[in-house]
Amino acid sequence: MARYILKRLLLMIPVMLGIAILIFTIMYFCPGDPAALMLGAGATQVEIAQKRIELGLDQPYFIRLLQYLKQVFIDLDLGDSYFYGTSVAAGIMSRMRYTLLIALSSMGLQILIGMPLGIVAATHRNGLADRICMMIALLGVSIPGFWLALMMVVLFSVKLGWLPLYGVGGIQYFILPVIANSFAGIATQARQTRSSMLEVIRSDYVATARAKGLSEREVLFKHALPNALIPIITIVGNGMGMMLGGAVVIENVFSIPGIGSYMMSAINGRDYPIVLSGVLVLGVTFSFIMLLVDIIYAFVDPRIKANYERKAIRRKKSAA
Amino acid sequence: MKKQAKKTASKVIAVILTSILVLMCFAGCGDAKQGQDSDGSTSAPNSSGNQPDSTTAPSGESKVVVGLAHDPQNIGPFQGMSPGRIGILYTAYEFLAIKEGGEMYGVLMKDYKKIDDLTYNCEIYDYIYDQAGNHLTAEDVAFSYNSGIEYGNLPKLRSINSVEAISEYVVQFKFDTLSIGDLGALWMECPIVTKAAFEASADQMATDPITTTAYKCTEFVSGSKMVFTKTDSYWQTDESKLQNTSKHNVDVIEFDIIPDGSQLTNALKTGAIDVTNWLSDVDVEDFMGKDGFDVTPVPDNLTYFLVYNCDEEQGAFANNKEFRQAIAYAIDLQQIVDGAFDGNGNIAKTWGNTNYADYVESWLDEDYYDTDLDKARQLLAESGVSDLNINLMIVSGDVTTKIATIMQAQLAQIGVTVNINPYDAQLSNTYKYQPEQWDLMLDQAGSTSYLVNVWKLAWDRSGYKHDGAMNFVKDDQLQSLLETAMDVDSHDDASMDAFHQYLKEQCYGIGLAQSMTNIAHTTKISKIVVDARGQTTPGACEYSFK
Amino acid sequence: MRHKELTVETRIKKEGQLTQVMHRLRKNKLAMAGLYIILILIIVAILSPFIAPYDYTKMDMSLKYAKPSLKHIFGCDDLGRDIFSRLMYGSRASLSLGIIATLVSTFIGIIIGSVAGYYGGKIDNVIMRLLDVIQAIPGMLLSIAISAALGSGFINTIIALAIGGVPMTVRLLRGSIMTIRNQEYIEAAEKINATKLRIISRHILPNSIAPLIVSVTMGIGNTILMAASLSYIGLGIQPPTPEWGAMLSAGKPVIEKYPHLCIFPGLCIMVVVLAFNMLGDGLRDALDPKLKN
Repeated sequence: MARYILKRLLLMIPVMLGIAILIFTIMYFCPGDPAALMLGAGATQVEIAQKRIELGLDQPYFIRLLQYLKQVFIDLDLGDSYFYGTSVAAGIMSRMRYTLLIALSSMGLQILIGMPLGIVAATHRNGLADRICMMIALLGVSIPGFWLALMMVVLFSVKLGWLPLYGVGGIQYFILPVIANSFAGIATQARQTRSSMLEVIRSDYVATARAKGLSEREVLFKHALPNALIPIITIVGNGMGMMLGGAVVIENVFSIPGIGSYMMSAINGRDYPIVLSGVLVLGVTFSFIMLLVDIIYAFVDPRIKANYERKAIRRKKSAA
Repeated sequence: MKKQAKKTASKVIAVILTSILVLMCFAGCGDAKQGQDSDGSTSAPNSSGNQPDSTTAPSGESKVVVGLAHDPQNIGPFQGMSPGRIGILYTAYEFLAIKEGGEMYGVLMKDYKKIDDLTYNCEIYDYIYDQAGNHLTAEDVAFSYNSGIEYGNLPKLRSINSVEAISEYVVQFKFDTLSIGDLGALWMECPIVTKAAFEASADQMATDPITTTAYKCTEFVSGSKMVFTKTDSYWQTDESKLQNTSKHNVDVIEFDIIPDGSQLTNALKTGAIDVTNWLSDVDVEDFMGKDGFDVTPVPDNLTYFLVYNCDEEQGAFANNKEFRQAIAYAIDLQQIVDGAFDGNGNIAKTWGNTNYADYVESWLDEDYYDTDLDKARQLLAESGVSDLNINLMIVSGDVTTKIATIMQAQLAQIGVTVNINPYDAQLSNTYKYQPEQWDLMLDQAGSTSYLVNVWKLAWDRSGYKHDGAMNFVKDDQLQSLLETAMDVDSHDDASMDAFHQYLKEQCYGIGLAQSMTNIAHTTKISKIVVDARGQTTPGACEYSFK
Repeated sequence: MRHKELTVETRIKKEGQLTQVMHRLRKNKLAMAGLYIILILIIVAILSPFIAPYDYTKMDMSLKYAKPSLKHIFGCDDLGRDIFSRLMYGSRASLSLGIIATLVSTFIGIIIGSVAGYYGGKIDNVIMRLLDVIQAIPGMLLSIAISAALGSGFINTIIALAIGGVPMTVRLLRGSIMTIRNQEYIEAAEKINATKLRIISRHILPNSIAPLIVSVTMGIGNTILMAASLSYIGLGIQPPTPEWGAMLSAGKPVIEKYPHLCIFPGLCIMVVVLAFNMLGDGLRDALDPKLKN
């Protein structure tokens, strides 16, 4: 297992390179010249040309790409923002805290509420509980996040005055954003859990377990759930990736200075260093989470684990 | 094997949940640390919450919270102007001079002397100190201007040839060109900081500027809020020389960034903020004359314009006055005011609005392409244009999209099909200068001095590298009429009217409408004071604290 | 020769399967209701120019924010346009955006996912690392960046929306294939020398399709909402073409005062999502090979 993790960590290096190249290329093809954008209206051609040289934008694609890769991967420097002259690393760090806090809390809520909902729905298939759970789930996917957020604000902040309207600070500032942010996730989680559980409940080994006379609870938690976990974990990992990008809309409604709004304005402003390095940092974080997911896969499903081990043994043998 | 699966599964769930909790704590800890770092004199974290008594900070200091719809992002001195930046400008910085009601007043500047047409000597007060105690001298003024030029974000500074300190308190400005209103505009363009303070700053003052105002930035949460606290060592102790923008009637000014329009309204309703310049037009009636609130409408100094691309090669409207006029006659300006500004605005009668001192009153009664669909159709037929597909470039946004949609529907009535191409502000700023990118452009501009400066911005060919005006037209008569109006000696009603009539007749572009800035505030602010850009200056407002 | 025989045989079998699936689907009332709603919406989308009561571009400032009434059953929007007519027209853009973008990304995802999941090993590694690259860039940011590079417009919007969805499908499919791959019937199929394509298409896909269908049905709703976010920042479909997501975000500033501007487009999106979900659930049950008898 340790060997596997090490291997995955090493494999992350080409992934990082890939991310850097991909986003660099996309941004390269974005219309709009940062030099002209920075100098604003009425700049002369000479001034713009000078600025381009200063920023290194006059170089051809490959040279710029190599320079960028060298700067990030060899000099370990994320660069400075074109427009603000401030360090990108510092900008990302200051905003990552909020994004991480909201993403992780939302994820927790999603698992704690979504999974039980799904399990209840699956075990009471077509019953009243199933219908209610699935209605909640359905509402979750179809209610636009900002609508829910604004309605909650009107109720809890404007009318009742229990929670702050906007901004960042103590824990009370994050209650509404987290609920609004996780609502869709809870719904997805519930549906996926229900679907996987149903799949497993019908399978032969669950039937066997039942036939052995185990109690329904035992069948459910000892046999069905562990086997239904893989697609469920996938959803969690994916959702985490989505939330890392920042819930732009939620950040906007609650005036939370997260990574989403930071990146958005950078893309619009063609502030390449922020976009490139920001995506890279998000990419690293996300890759770690996905590695975690894959490790959990192996834990959950002994067959997969056995597969890795078998390979390892084979490798050892061939090495010997 | 199944038992094992079950055990590992429950273990895994436990691990996931614990790691989430741990990570949450970790994120939370980061939060707490940040709080400690900036603890200083700043207010409690719940000050931006919904406590209605936000005007009084815990220590009994008076406090005002201003709601901003846009993030200034970087409050360093030499950054470009942006909708977020104009809100905090005079709280954060002082300038050589300011303008009020068209008149120029010195702030740091004590006096100035004209040496010749293009050379001016500016004398500053000899007792200016910044918040770190650095003495500000002519050297610092020259440093600030030269830095401003070097950073390249302040376009007006381009007409400066050189700035030099010629004695301890006298700076000499040499200009390349100078037309009416330029001098004041130049002296209120560049924030002044001391060289010592700027060089001591680790981030070019992006988050922690040391300036000469009465307010020091004591808390800066990127993308969220900025808190400015009154210092007790403001340099200008002579009340009679204190300009509005430098007044300091309140102890603490907090700027909260609230990009969502509905939230801005909610924030004001609950008293989380005291004043905002960004109240959306539909919400005005909620505060106008309501108990505890008031709305001060201030006409925007910006006007929306429609520009026709007249580039000889690429322009759909080149050498075709009839086509341009047909479009103008088809557009109903009142509908734009009603639809896009909810009636809070004025239709334009020239390339600009009535905010400026050199606006000619008689234009108000003139016909300015008053809607006439029959005439529009007739002109369209005369124009002989066969391709009636037109690309309209706009800066993406709620209001601009509405204006564009309204014009699109109006032009459809005469058979012209409009494709709307929205770009973000930066990109459209690039495409503006590329004739192949647009046929029609929705633009917005204003000036802090004269109407003629608004004209200059758009129609002065010397301001463009393509040697045309903003619509690429190379019309010598337009240029000479503009130069006459711009000249200090011939700037009068007659020369203004001459340019206005020619531009109107040629129809290279038309003014559409001027919107209102609705400054909504609680009655804790008894009088709103605005600067030349129509922005609230919180330090200068009058307060009625209990 | 052998290949030809195989495809003919497959087709016959497939037809048999399809009728079975349809038979089972027909018995599921909810699924059929979903299917009918989708069909009705598609018909409305096609016929909208003929059946809409008003021109969707017609403005009337005196009817600005008009509440629902007999003349305008869903009221009027911020420019005095009839919301009901706009919703009818809007179904064209919204449905096609949601469906096409989701199908494109799912189709690509299925191909890549089944290859990666079934073959495993090196191929899996290479594919997954490539996808890691795409997936590591948060979907919304990726869509915004691609839109910024390509510009607005229908096709570009579809590309921007579809690319971000691919890795999700792949991971989902691959995850379930990895569990199935080691099951006895696949081993059996391998033992009897079935071709890989056959194993993938006949044994692996049908057995891992259930979570995929759930994700597709949800994806369509999500995509419609995501298109809304894109149009909110000036990308995506442009006016005058109405689009539900754009209508929804246009109503956002007045959500408290004139909620009907948001409620009706929101309801439309909800109904579509609901319909696709009901159909999806039904399809999953109908497709489930374990319920064959």
